[in-house]
Amino acid sequence: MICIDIILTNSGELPIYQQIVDQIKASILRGDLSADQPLPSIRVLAKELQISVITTKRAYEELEKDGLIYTLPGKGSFVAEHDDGKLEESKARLVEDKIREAIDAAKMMGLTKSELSKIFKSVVEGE
Amino acid sequence: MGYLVLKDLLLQKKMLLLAFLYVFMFTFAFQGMGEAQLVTIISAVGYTFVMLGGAWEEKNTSDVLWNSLAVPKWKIVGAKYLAIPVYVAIVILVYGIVSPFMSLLRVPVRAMPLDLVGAVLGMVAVFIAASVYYPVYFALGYAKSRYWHFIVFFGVMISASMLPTLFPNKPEWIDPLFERLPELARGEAVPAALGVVFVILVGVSFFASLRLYGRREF
Amino acid sequence: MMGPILKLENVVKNFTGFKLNGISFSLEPGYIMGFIGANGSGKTTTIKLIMNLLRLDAGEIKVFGLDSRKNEQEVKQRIGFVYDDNHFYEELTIVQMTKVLAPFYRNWDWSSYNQYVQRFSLPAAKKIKTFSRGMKMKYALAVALSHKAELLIMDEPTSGLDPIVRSELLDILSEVIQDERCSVLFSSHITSDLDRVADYVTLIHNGNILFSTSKEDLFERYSLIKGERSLLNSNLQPYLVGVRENQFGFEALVTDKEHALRLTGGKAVLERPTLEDIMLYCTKEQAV
Repeated sequence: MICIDIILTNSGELPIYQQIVDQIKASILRGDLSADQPLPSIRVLAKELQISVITTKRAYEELEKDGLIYTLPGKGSFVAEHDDGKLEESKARLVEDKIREAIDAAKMMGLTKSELSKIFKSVVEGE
Repeated sequence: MGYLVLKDLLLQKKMLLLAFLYVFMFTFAFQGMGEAQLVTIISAVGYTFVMLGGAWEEKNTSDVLWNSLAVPKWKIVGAKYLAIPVYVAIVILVYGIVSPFMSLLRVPVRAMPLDLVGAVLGMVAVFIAASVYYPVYFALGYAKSRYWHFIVFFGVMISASMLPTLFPNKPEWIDPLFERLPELARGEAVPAALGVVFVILVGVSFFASLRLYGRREF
Repeated sequence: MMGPILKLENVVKNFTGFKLNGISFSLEPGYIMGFIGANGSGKTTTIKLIMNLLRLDAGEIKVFGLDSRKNEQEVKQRIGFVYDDNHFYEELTIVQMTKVLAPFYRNWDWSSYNQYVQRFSLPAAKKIKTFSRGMKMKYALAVALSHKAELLIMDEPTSGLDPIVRSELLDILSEVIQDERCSVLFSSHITSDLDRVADYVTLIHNGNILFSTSKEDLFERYSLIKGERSLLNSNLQPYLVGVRENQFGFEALVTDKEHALRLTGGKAVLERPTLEDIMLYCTKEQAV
């Protein structure tokens, strides 16, 4: 069984299943998890995280859709093979998605592109 | 069903103590009764235990428990009927100890010795009383059937105490009759008929109780 | 066994002053369903109807695919129950009480029972009337879990218990549900317990089912929105399920949160609701 940390938060909007997906995805992309490693069963994960099994099921379904894990009936779920090229691609895509979320939020509040760039630069420089 | 009766006995553990107490008390109370004393005591104490058995159920709202477990209603009702002879047997046993004990101690009370006629009549009387009481108990629960219980109780007491006036002289045929009861049941018409009536009475009571209990909601 | 482990169809029960208005919901095997609603909304009545302690006026209840009335004994063999009040004999010890009720269960498992008694530290030789409320509940649970029950029905098992005992109970339920053949119906007005473990949630109010769906769906459907009162406009109305205004702003439950947020010009704040929020706002709307 693998040892990954999954930290969930109730505050904020991100649905719990999405948080699980993001964190497992990140672990895989970082290389913390290698191919064919078994993941905890949806029920065990639900019990440990103290959430509904439907949520963990959904998270695993999303991960499977993204090709990051595969499931063998009766045996459980495992980390899928991934090549490094695809890995880099996925990493980029993840960050792109997050940036797009920020852009949507900015648009909603009526910020201009240059205002947004300024904010982005100051945050990145600050890190 | 045996376990249900066991439960009644476990609950009424103090019953043994109570039995001694009641028998003692009633012996004093009914000492003037003469022949009918034994029957009256057995009937009164036996029937009291039948009633107390119902009281425990109500106190614990146990109907909800038994009807949530996989226990068919006929077992719940049947166990209460099965408990009747058990209670009466205990009372008879206690009386069998108390009465010679009292004469041993030369207590200035007349206590009729235990005899077969009295014991059998007592058992029959309790059965009849319980058969009259139970359908109302199962229909309404313990609390609401209290009045009925007391009516039956006094009815039993009065009829039992009236026995000597109905039979002023104990007919000679009574004792040998009771001794030959088992074989008589097969042969003679009258005791057999009475036996059948008795069984029908208890049977009707049981089915009525079952029907009424089946209609109840908890 | 295929199909739902519990299914209620158009169940009607009439009392003077209260009525279960043809309620329907079902539970698939292997999940925990939280049955929530205010006191007096019909939770206990529903559970009593499932257990045949009350008679149905109309409708049908199927447990394990069997009719709850026609196959009453078979159904009850496979149900474990924990009620709000204690119905065990207070004058008896748990040893005596269990001795009397165990024989009625076909699949009684003494080793499982003994393990639970030990785990809960229940005293063998003390009368049940000396037990605290939490201990009485634990005894009921030990019994309910010791005859290979496939459906656990719990009616407000945590009311009146301290948070530590409540948490212990929820841990045990999570364990129990690891076996996919077991399911749990858990009624409570303390929604925070269900926030944690429930897979499905059914809300009952004044004898009506307001919704019966997975917790995932619920949190997808609803969101809390908070902001200045000036942001409340008529465009927002159709998406609002109950609003709470005070001097400093408003809070509301909305459906379609993205759209609702846009309608406030992005000036409001979205937040994940708790089950309690959802229950309060949904029932508030009903009252109006």
